[in-house]
Amino acid sequence: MHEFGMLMNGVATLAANPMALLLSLVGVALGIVIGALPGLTATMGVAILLPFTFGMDPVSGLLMISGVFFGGVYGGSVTAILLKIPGTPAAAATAMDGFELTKKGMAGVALGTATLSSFLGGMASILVLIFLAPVLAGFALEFSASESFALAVFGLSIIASISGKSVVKGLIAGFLGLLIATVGMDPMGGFPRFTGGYTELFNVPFIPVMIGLFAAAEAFKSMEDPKVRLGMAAALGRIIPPWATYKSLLGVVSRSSILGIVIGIIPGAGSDIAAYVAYNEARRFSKTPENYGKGELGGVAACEAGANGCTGGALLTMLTLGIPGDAVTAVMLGALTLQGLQPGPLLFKEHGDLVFTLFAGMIFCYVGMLVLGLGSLRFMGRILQMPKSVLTPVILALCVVGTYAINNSLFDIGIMLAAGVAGYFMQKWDFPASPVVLALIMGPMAEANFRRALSLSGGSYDFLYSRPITAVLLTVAILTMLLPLVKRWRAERAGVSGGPVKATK
Amino acid sequence: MSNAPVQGGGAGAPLSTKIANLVIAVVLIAVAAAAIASTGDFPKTMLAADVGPARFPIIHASVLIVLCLILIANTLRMPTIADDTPPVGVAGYAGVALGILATAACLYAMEYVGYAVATVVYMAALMWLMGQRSPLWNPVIAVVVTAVIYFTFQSALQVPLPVGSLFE
Amino acid sequence: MKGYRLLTGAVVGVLATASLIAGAQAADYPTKPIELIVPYAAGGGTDLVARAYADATKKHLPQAMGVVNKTGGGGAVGLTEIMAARADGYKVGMGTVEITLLPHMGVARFSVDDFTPIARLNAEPSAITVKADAPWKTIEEFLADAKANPGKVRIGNSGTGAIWHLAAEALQNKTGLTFNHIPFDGANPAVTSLLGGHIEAVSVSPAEVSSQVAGGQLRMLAVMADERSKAFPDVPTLKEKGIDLSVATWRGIVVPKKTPAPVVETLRKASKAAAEEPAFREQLAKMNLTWAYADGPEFGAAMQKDNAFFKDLMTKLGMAK
Repeated sequence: MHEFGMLMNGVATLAANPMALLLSLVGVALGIVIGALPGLTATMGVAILLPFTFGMDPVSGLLMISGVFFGGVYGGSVTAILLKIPGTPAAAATAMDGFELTKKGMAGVALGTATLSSFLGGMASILVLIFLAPVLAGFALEFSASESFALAVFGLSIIASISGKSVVKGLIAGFLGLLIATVGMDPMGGFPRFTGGYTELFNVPFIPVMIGLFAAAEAFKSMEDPKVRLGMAAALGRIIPPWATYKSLLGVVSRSSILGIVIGIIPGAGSDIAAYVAYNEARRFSKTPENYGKGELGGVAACEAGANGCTGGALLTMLTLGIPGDAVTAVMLGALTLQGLQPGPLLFKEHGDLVFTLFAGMIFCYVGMLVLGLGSLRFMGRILQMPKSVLTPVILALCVVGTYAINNSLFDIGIMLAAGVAGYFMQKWDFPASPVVLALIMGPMAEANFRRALSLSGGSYDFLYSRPITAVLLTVAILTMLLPLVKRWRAERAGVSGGPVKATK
Repeated sequence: MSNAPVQGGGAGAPLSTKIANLVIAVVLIAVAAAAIASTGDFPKTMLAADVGPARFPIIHASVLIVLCLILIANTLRMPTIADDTPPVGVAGYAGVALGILATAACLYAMEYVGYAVATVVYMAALMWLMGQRSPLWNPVIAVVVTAVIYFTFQSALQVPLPVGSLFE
Repeated sequence: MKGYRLLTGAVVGVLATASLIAGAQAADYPTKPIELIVPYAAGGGTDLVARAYADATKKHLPQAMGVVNKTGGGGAVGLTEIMAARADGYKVGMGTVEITLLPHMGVARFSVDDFTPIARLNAEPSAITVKADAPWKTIEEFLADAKANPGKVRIGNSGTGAIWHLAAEALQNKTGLTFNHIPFDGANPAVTSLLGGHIEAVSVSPAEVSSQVAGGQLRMLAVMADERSKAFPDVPTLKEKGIDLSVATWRGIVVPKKTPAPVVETLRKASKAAAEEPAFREQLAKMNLTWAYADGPEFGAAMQKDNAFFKDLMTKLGMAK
C-alpha cells in the first residue's frame, strides 16, 4: 500500500501545521455560510477567497479553498430543508423531501441525515481520490459529447419520478423548462435566441429562476392565510437520527456516493446532476417509492451523499489531468498554479508529498464539516422558532440580495420575481417546480452535446448506438421513462385504476 | 407509479382546478406556438453537420403543445367533484398580491434609492402586511436584518450592493 | 414613533454622506475607491489578471480598486456597462479582445471607439496543439494532412465567434484549407476532448495547454504570434513557416470615451507602475500568462488594428451583421 504510507506521512506533516488545520476549519465554516445563502455558490466563495491565499503556504491556502468547496456543497442543504431556499442547485433536489419533512416537524432529523450523508459521501469520494486516482483518470477522457448527451437524457428521464401528483403536469413543467432553457446564446452558433434584445438574457438565468420557483413562491404562499402569518413555522425535533433509522439508509448512501463520485469525474457534470440522479436511483430501489416527494429521509440522504460524492470525483479529474470539470475546480486549478503546483500528470510525481498532505487535510476538512455541521444545527434550527411574519420578509430579502449577487444585476431580481409569481400559481394548481429546475440543468447540456456530437461525427447519427457508454445510458433512460407507464397500464388492466399504484420490484 | 388523479380519468377534480388546467394549457400552447413562430427568423448554422439553432426549441415546443392537449382532454373527461380544500378568500389573495407588488416596488426603488433604504422599507412593509404591526419592532428588525445582510454581502463577500442613482 | 424617527435619521444620514461625496468629486482624483468592472466570472483568467492588477495598484493610487464581476452575453453585459459608465474615472473596466469582436456580430451596443485605452496588461497568442501520439510532428505535416482530407480535421475552439474560433478560421482563410470547427463551452472542455482523442487539434492559447504539454500528453505545433513564446521556445511561429498570421487575445484597462484627460493621465501613470511591479509580473508568470504591457496610445493602435482585421475576417465568414 504505497498510497497508505504516503497518506500517513501526509497526516504527520499536517499535524505539525496547526495553522493549516485552523484555516481549513475557517474555510469549511465560510463554505457552509456561502452555500446556505441563496445565489452564492461555492464557485464565488472560492474565487473571493483566492486572493487571500496568495500569501499563505500552499497547504494552508489550498485546504482553506477545499474547505469552502466542501462546505459550500453541503451548506445548501440547511436552508433548503429548513426554509425551502435552495442555496445551491443541488440543494433544490434536497428541498423536495427535506422541506416536506420540516413541515411534518422532523426538520432536525432531516438536517442530521443530510449532514451525516454529506460527510459519508464526501469521505468516500476523498478515499477514492486517494487510492484509485490513477485508475479512474482515464474514465473522464472516455466521455465525449455523445456520452454527455446521453447522461443529460438520462437525467431528464427522471422528470416522471419527481412529478408529484400528475405525470402529465410534471412533463408539461419539464418541457416548459426545456423551452426556457433554450433562451440565450445558442450553444453551437452563438446566435441569441428568444432574448428580445436583452443582453442579460444571453445566458439562461438559471439560479434566479430556481430561487424564485422554490423560495419566493413558498414565501408568497405563506402570505395567504392571516392565521398562518403570525404562527411559528415548525418544530425542530431531534437532530441525530436514531441508529436504527440511519442504518436502513446506509444502502442508499453508499449507492449515491458511488454515483456522485462517477458523475463528479465526468467533465461538465457536477453536484446538481449527481443529486438528482442519486435521488432517482434511491427511489427506484426503494421499497416505498410512493413516499418520495412527501418527506422521505432516503431522498435527503441520496441527494446529499450524491452531491458531496462529486467533490472528490471533480478533484480527481482536475488533479490528475489538469482539467477542471466544473467552475469550482477551474478556480481551484488557478489556485494550485498560483502556488507553483501545476495540476496534471506530473503533479503526483513531482509533488507527491504535498499532494498526500493535501489529501490528509481534505479528510480533516470533511471531519470538521461533520462536527461544525452537527454542532451548529441546533442553533440554525432556531430560525424555525421565528414567527412567520418576521421569517417570510427575511426570506424574501435574502432571495432579493442573493439573486442580485450572482451577476450584480437588478435584471436578475426581476426574473426571480417573475419566477416566484409563476411558482406560486404552479404550486396552487399542482404543477411541480422540480422538473423545471431539472430541465434547466439538463436541457442546455443535452442540446449542446447532441449538436457537438453530430458535428464531431460529421453529420452521422451513428454515435447514438455505436458508442457503448452512450448506448447503455440511453437505453436505461428509455426504460426509466417507459417502465412506469407499462406498469400503470398493466395495473389499470388489472382493474385498480385511479388509486395509487404501487411499483413492484 | 404515482397516484395520478388527473391521468386515469377515474378521479375527479374541483371545478376551479379544471378551469385552471384549461387556462394554463391554452396559455402554454400560445407560448409554445409563439416560440415556434419566432424560430423562423433564426439564421442557418455556419457549422458543418449541425441541425441549427431552431431544431431543439421547435422539438421542445411541439412536445409541450401535445402535452397541453393531453391535459385538456384529460381535464374535460374527468368528473367535477366538490372542493374540499379550505378556500383562500379575497383577503388571502390580496395579501399575496400586495406581497408581490411590494417586491416589485422594492426592485424599482433600489435603482434610485439604493439597496439599504429600499430593503428596510420593504421588510417593514412586509412585516406589517403579515400582521406584525408593532411601530417599534418592525423598523428595528428591518434595520437590523438589512444591516446584517448589507455587511455580510458588501464587506465580507465583496458583493457591491446598489448605491442608488440618486446618491451616486 | 421612535422607529419612524430612526428611519428618517438614517435617510438624512445617507443623503448627507451622498452630497459630501458628490462635492468631493471635483477635487483631486481619486478621492474614493475605484470599481474595476470585469466582464467575466470570478476565478477565470481575466478575473485573475484583474485582481492581480488591482492588488498591484495599491502602492500607486491613493484609493483602492475593487473588482466587480459583471458576467453575461459572452462579455457583452460587462463591456456595455463600462461603455455606459459615468466618465469620471471611478468605474474603469477590464477590456478584452471581445471589444473588437462583439460589435461586428450585432450583439453589442458599443464599438471600439467608445473606449479610451489606458494600458494593455497581458496578451496570449493562439497555438495549434495536437495529441502527443498524433501522426503529425510539425505544422507542415498537419497542414498537408488537412489539405489531403478537407473538412475531416476537427479543430476544437472555445465557442463560435470567440477568439480561438476566429483564429482557426483565420488560419483556414490564409491557407485555403477547410477544417471542421467544433465549438466547446470554453477552452478547458476543448482540451479535455483533445486529450480523449475526440478531436484532432485545438486552437487555444499555450497557457491553456501548458500542463498537458509539459506532461507529454499534448504537442504544440505552432503559435500564431510574431515571436516565439518564452515558455515554449522550441515551438515555431506561423510566420517562420511562411504563413503571415498572428492572432492573440489581450486584456487591458479601458475607461469610457469621455473620461477627462487628467484622470486618464493619472490612471495611465498608475497602471504603468503597477504593471511593472515585480509581484504583478510574478503573479502572471505563475498562471502561465504572458506579461504584455503597452501604454494607452500603443494599446489603442493595437485595438484598432485588431478591429479592422476581425471586421474583415467576420465579413468574409458571413458572421458580421
